[in-house]
Amino acid sequence: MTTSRTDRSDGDLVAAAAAGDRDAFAALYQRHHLGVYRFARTMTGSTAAAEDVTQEVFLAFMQGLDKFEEGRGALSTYLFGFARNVSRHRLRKEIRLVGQDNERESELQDPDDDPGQMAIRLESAARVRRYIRGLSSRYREVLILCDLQELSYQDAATVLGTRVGTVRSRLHRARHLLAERLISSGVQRSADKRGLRWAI
Amino acid sequence: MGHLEEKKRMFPADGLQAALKAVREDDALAQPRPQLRERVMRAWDTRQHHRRTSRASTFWFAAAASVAVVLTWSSSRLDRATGNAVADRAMALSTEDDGLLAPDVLMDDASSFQYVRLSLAPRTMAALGIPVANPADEEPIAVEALIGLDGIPRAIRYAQFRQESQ
Repeated sequence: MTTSRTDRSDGDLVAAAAAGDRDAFAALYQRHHLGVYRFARTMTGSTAAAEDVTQEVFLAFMQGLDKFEEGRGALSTYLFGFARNVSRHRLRKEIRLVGQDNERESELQDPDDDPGQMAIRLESAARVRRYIRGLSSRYREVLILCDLQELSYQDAATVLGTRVGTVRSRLHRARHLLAERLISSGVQRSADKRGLRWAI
Repeated sequence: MGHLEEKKRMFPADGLQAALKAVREDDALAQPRPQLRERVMRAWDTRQHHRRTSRASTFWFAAAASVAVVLTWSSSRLDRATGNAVADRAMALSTEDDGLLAPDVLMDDASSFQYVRLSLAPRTMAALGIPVANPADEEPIAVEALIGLDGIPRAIRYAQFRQESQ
């Protein structure tokens, strides 16, 4: 009985792809592209940039297929490491884009905004995403990895090339900063009206 | 204590987690365009094509290099053997009385000669200036000649090979 591609481990598929198996690489892409894309989308704040990052990640991956060692960690962790580096590199090059995001954020922080309107905004994940994007890279990436991609602290530490303790402390700080931003933008007032309260 | 700190003190649980959950749910709906997969797989195909081409080029280059090395080596051995033989012949011819040696034969590079054995009509021998007993005879005469690369014979003499083979 043959093993279907969906049943095969990442290591098997990587080995097959390294030997030139197109279907194996396509299966790897299918299995991991969404995680990479979603990570990049939250990091960059742009779907177009996220697609570019995803493409760059898989191009880099295909060029170094033989460098992946299954024993050293999961492939998803390995690819998140690529995605993190590519996203950071891209963000450094696109300061203008970040500047525009900050402008939009400052609009949200207008204290004269109608509380009803703010409540509507509260329900929008896009708004929360914008606050996340307003965090510095070191906090944003740990928040995305642990709270959105739901990686373990250990895997996040592998992606970030740091210790688990550092991940914990950065994550704590990131959550704290995000809550502060949500509060200072007036979310708290609206949330209270709707019976929601924010916590760190 | 600031206004923000006051607010943080009064927070109960799970508000932040609710916000993050909203983002996760939004993420779950996010899909890149199908063109992204096409672009990646096209890059894969291009890369594989280059790898195959590169491998084939490397193979053929290595094969061509091997053939060139073998040919050079063989040619070198052949040239050395031929050159030595021709030089020996030329030296021998120059010392023999029964042959005709062009004056400049030893001025040329020995490797530029071809040593050949021919059968010539007596009248042809006579035309070349070689003394023949009966130029009208029909019986061909075996001769040895040194032919230059331009096709002009540089030296000619009566064949010695029958004696050598004995």
